[in-house]
Amino acid sequence: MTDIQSTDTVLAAPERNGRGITLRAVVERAGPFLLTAFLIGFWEFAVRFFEVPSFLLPAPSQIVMLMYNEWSLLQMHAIATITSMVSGYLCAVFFALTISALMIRFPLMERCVMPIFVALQSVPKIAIAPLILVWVGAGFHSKLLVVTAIAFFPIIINTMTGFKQVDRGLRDVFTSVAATERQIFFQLRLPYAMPYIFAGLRIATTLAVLGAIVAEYLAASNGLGYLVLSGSFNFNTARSFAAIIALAVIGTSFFGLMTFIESRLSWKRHASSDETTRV
Amino acid sequence: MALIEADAATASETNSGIGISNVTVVYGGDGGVTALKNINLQVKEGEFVSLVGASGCGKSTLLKVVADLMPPTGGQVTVNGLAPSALRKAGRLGLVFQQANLMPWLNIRGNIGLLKSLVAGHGGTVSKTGASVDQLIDVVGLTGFGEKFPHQLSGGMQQRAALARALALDPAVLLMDEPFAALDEITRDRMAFELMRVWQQYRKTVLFVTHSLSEAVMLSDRVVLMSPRPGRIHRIFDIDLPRPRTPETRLTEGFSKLVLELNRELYEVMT
Repeated sequence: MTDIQSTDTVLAAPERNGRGITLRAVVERAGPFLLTAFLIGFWEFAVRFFEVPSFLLPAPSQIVMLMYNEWSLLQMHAIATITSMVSGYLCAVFFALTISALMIRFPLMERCVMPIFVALQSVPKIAIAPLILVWVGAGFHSKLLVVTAIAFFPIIINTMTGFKQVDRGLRDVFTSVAATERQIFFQLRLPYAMPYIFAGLRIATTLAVLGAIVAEYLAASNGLGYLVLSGSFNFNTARSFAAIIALAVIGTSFFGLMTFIESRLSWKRHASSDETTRV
Repeated sequence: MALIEADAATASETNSGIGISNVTVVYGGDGGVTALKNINLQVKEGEFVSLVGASGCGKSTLLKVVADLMPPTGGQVTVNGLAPSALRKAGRLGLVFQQANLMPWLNIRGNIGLLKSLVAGHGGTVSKTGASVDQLIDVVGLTGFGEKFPHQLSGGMQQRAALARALALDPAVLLMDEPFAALDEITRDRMAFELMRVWQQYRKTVLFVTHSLSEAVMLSDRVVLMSPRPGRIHRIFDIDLPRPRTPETRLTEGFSKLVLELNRELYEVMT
């Protein structure tokens, strides 16, 4: 592993000295930003040049202006979305982790319940959202429930996969000193499953944002989803765009936060260590 | 623990070491495959005994029975006069497997100390006479690697850490199931001498399963040749080569004679 890395840097070093490579490296780094800037510029130009009506497609400058002018409105709706999204997400995490721990402790429960979860996994949870609204009514609770329902499944499926895949050899090590069930869970299964759990947690962040938006589309009087919808109803397309940008920022930050937490709490699977243990 | 030690003290001298009497293992109930049949073997305290034989002779099964990872269908095993299950619960069985089986999320120091802390965590009293984690890191030749993680180490170094982890328990016996089989030949050779050096230092009772006849001769006081279907002891070879043994030992006539004899006997068993 380390050997490979060191040869890599040795190979890369002379390349960096070459002139053409330097330019290429700059383009590679800055490329996506330059392209984005160009596309936005083109958008601005095209809207002005062809005089596209703003209810159809507002110019980027209009969107920025609106974000500046209606900042407090955006903020209010963003907070509503974030609140329901985060609380729904935390509920999903809590229930998914608790239920998986119980299923590991009581195999009978796993045999009864897990097939249901696996079957439900393939049902598009978004489709259930209107029913949740019927049962709970519009408002914060229905948003929370939709987010929980949609974020729950990837977490529990991934967590269970991690718990169940614990290497036989590592288990034998624990058995060799008659480790208790509790020790095996907290010192073997849980740390072993960490990369799996975080894979589920990361997928769930994206789904939580989606769930919050859908719930707000269906019936809500606040939230960025509501803002997107009301903006399009009122032909205030710039406002819809502003809300979508806010949603993108929230989704990306949420995902980034989870990746950061993972880097602090979890370990990474290394191909080389897998190899040496498998041989 | 104190209780166990008292028990061990009252146990007669002849009970120290490993006592295997009439052990039979049948897989799959009545009419199943007989993996081991009427095995009788005494391993003295501090003795290094290897089990060799063709695949399916039950040498790994026998080790698992001693390690209390598999119950015998019949017969009895004692280690220092105690049942293996009692020793396992007390955390006094040192196991080294073919794979190092290190926890990838713990560094080497954490891995070596893991079993000790598990034993302490479930009510066992960890022996205070055993070497500390730091000492063991030095003993197995991993000085300076304590903070590294398993994936940063070579296969041989991982196996050294696994040996240190087993030694940290101050085990009554060291049970090793083809510990060097996954290593390349040069590393494997070096590890054998390392193991001998460590063994000279701690004088643990060792039961060692291997495919390599020369490795068995090099390491052992006695080599047990087993025959398959059903697994039983074919012959026990006394290895009277002087210690400490060095790479030069391999060049001696005594060494090659023993390996040759073992080889001949092994093929005789197989045909």
